[in-house]
Amino acid sequence: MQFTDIKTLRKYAVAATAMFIFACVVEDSAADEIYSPNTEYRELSLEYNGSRTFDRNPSKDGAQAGEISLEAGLTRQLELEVSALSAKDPGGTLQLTAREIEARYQFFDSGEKWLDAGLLIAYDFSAQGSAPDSLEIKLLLQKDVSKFTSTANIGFAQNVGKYSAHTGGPDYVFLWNTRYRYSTGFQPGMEIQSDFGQGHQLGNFNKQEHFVGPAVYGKLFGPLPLGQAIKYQVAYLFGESDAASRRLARAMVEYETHF
Amino acid sequence: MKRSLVYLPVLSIVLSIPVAAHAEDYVLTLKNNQFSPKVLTIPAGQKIKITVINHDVTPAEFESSDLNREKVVGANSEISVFIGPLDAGSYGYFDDFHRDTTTGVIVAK
Repeated sequence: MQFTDIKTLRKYAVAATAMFIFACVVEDSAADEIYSPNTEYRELSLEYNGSRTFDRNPSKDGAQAGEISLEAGLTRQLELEVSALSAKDPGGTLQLTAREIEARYQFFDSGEKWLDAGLLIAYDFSAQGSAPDSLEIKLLLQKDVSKFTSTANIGFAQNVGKYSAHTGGPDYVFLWNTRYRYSTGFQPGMEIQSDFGQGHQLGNFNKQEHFVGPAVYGKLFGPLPLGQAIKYQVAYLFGESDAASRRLARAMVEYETHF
Repeated sequence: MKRSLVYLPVLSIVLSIPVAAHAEDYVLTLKNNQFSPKVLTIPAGQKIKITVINHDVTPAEFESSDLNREKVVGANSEISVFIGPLDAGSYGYFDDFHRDTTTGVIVAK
């Protein structure tokens, strides 16, 4: 690899550091990738997404989650993704928790309506003996105002299948980010990740997990061949409710190409 | 205060009051890996529909972080790209498959 200038070197260092820190497979946490409703036809990508909690309380510190995915834009409106999900409890050990298949459907052309919208449906096949499978459904929304882009994911996850009895649910989530499109490679913003929990938690803010904090997003071309790029997302979030850990960091790195 | 911090962003969507408007049509052509016109002038403050027509035998990808758009256009095919309303200014775009040589600018005024 040849780096043409220090700026490019710094950008690759950020992406590489994020990938190194979150390279281990980790436990499920509230942090997740925030999806745009807009799909990318004929794009093929390999992605890693990970998060880690930080807290003085040992029961909340060091929880991690990881996801390795392969995704493809099959039509102008449909993307499919297959993933392996892993997790580590605070003080626990790394485990493969599920294999996931996910579909994202874009309702209409980006910018055609007042709001871009789409739907995400994901099914997790549990990889742990007596743990239930899970069905996740999210509404994906996005709006551009000047050089700001805001994205919201609103949905729920429900345990299903053989071992789902008495596991409660559904579990409701709300994810949001707003970013300023300063350049292709650097888009600073802020992010909210909220897990409202299940029925009995819905009316109690402090029993839910809420995080807010700064983030940066971007797409780097560097010395890669034409039509290929590295996308990244890095966020450092602060727990805003009692049930949340004090801090939560997440990172996503994605290599994209076309077919 | 903490709850407001979490719920406040939802208001930004509500406050972006939609204005119904017909999108004006413009055309960009791609031939020999060059966009034409190189500088496309459009009115600021209006939603615009751009038809990108690829006359080449290889696919291209209309991409712009200024406009937040990324869309593949097949060989000898066309796509529609909706943009705006844009503030007055210049917005760059490129063909991701030939990003060093195939670029253009949209000027809103």
